[in-house]
Amino acid sequence: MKQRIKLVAVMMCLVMLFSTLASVSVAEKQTVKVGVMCPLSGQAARFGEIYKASIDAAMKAVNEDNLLEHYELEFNYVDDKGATHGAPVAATYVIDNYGAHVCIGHLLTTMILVSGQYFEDAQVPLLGIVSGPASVQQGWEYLCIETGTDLDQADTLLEYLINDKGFSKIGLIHVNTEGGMSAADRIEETIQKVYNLSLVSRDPMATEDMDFTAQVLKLKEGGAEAVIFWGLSQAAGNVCMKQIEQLWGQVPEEIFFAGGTNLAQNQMLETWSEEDIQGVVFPVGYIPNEDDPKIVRFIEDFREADPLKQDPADVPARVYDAVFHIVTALNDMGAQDVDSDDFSINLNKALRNAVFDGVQGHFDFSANDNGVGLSRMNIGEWGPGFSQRKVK
Amino acid sequence: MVMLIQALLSGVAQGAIYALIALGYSVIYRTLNMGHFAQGEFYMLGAFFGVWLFTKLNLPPIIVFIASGLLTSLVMLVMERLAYRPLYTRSVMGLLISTLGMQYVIQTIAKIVWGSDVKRFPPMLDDSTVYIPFQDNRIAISMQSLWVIGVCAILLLALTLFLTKTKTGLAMSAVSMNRKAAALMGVNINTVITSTFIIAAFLAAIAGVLMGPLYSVSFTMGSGIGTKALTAAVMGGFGSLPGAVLGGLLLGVVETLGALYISSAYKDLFSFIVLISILFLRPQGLFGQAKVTKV
Repeated sequence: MKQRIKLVAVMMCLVMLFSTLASVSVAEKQTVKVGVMCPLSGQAARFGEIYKASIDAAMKAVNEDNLLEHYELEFNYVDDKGATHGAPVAATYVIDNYGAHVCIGHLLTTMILVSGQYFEDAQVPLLGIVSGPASVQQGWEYLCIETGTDLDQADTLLEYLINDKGFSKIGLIHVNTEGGMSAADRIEETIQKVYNLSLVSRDPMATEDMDFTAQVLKLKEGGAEAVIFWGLSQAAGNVCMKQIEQLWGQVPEEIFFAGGTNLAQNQMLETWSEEDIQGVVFPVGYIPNEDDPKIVRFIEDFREADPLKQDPADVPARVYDAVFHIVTALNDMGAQDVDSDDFSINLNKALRNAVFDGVQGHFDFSANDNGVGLSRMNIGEWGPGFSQRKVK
Repeated sequence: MVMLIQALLSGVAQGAIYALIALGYSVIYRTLNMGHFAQGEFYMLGAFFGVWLFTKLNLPPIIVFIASGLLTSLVMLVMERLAYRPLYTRSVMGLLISTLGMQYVIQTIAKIVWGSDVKRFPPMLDDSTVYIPFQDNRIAISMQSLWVIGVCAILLLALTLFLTKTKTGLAMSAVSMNRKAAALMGVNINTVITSTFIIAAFLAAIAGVLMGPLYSVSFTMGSGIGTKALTAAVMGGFGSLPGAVLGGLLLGVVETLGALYISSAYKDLFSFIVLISILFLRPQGLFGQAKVTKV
């Protein structure tokens, strides 16, 4: 009997010892809460899958390489419906209910515009997966953009079309969202002031427009050599391209067809035929590159995590880089108490000064004071077998 | 001049699609004196069935059209039994709200079954372009547009013959005039109403299969076009088949010409200005019949 009691007492001591050790090791790594606002329902629900796959791929790399020394990241996905009205609801949830230390989201610039002030007031950093310049122009200090803005994209595309390809007659069809209008204004302004040219025509379109007869006829009448299609819907881009071929001439042999980053997305594979897509160019941050081991790893890990097993494109790359942005900032901060009142404030400072190499290129947030870290864009082109290659 | 003719042709082709779906609205209104908010979703369903039948089962185009129409009609049959029939003896408003709800139900089911990604529908019919010399230029007419206009014309004719020459068609007219009297004359009201919804679904499905290869297929493709087709039906006169077609064609032409000569930013605005103007001058629509109320 006495021996049994001794045995039980020893075992209890051992259990308590191990529990203490375990709790000590858990306490060494604090949990940073990351709110992820993305569309989990609605038309853009596929992007929710993309966000998750990108984050899973990034965390796989972070964990395999032990990149996070003092923290572990916890992600909470909130449905923002991929629409403006869903943004404030999602923002309120992640800030007030979830208590996020940092957030990643949304999909449209208008969503950033309606939710950005929430993060500014709460002093919680928001990493925007958008490229609309209007978000940056608000002057918010708690916002970072995880790619180049539409303005950078427009500048890069114009430089390629005019300087590299030699086009002087360019027409523009653009979506009538904030990002599309800003890009269109920038294109019109740049083409006049920098290149001393004028747009052959500039026509807006609604997101759901599927007939471009009027726009194409105006471009044809104006003798355009190249058409910039700055939209959201890849399917609409294909309709426009086909109507150009029906009403005007062959793309790209007779009329060059270029777009915004919407034409870089994997949705192109679902809506364009292999024949139609060849020769279409676009400005983009991320371009697949077999020679870059970081990109190869990103592609493999994303494909594994994606329910559709697709290769990643531009939006996944932005989300992937956003995770590494957080990791870089947390490592720069060193060990701090996540429950302290100024943790998010300090994290924001670190985010706004972070320098790292992502799959889109070199990010240097300290070089700008506006939350933009990627200033250099690439020009990509679709080739045979739905391949993408960098042309500039 | 060439630009104008080209735009007119394109507007007519676009309008023919609105007309096909608007015919469904008009058929339902003709029999039941009410709208059907879920009509656009049957256009979407038809397109999804079409892409599945064509790409997965490799069926010939004519079979794809018929089978898509039948499958979509089957879905309508199930929906009608579950969500509409229990409300036939209640107020019309309840049935109308039910159609509004079914719009979202069908969208969600389509999203679950086929996913949220846009699907490419390979061309089934000849999608080449015919060029007609005109002055020093040429006018392009796509075979796709000719197919759309042709199918619309054939279906209008077939539907008109069905409604005026067949027993079921005449029964539908009788139900619309006086449901109780029709029932007393031996008309099976439920069968007539079911037939009405099925015909409307079939028409929308044909439109979906026609346009799927051009616009690609997604679970949200029905909402926008459903609204435009409703506008066309109202323009032409709710309940009038020729009115639905004329309204659709007018809507397509107004949109295209307005975008060409004024601005594409206000495409929808032009359509609604024309709609409001027509309703001000002729509230029953272009071909609708004014209702006389005896006091």
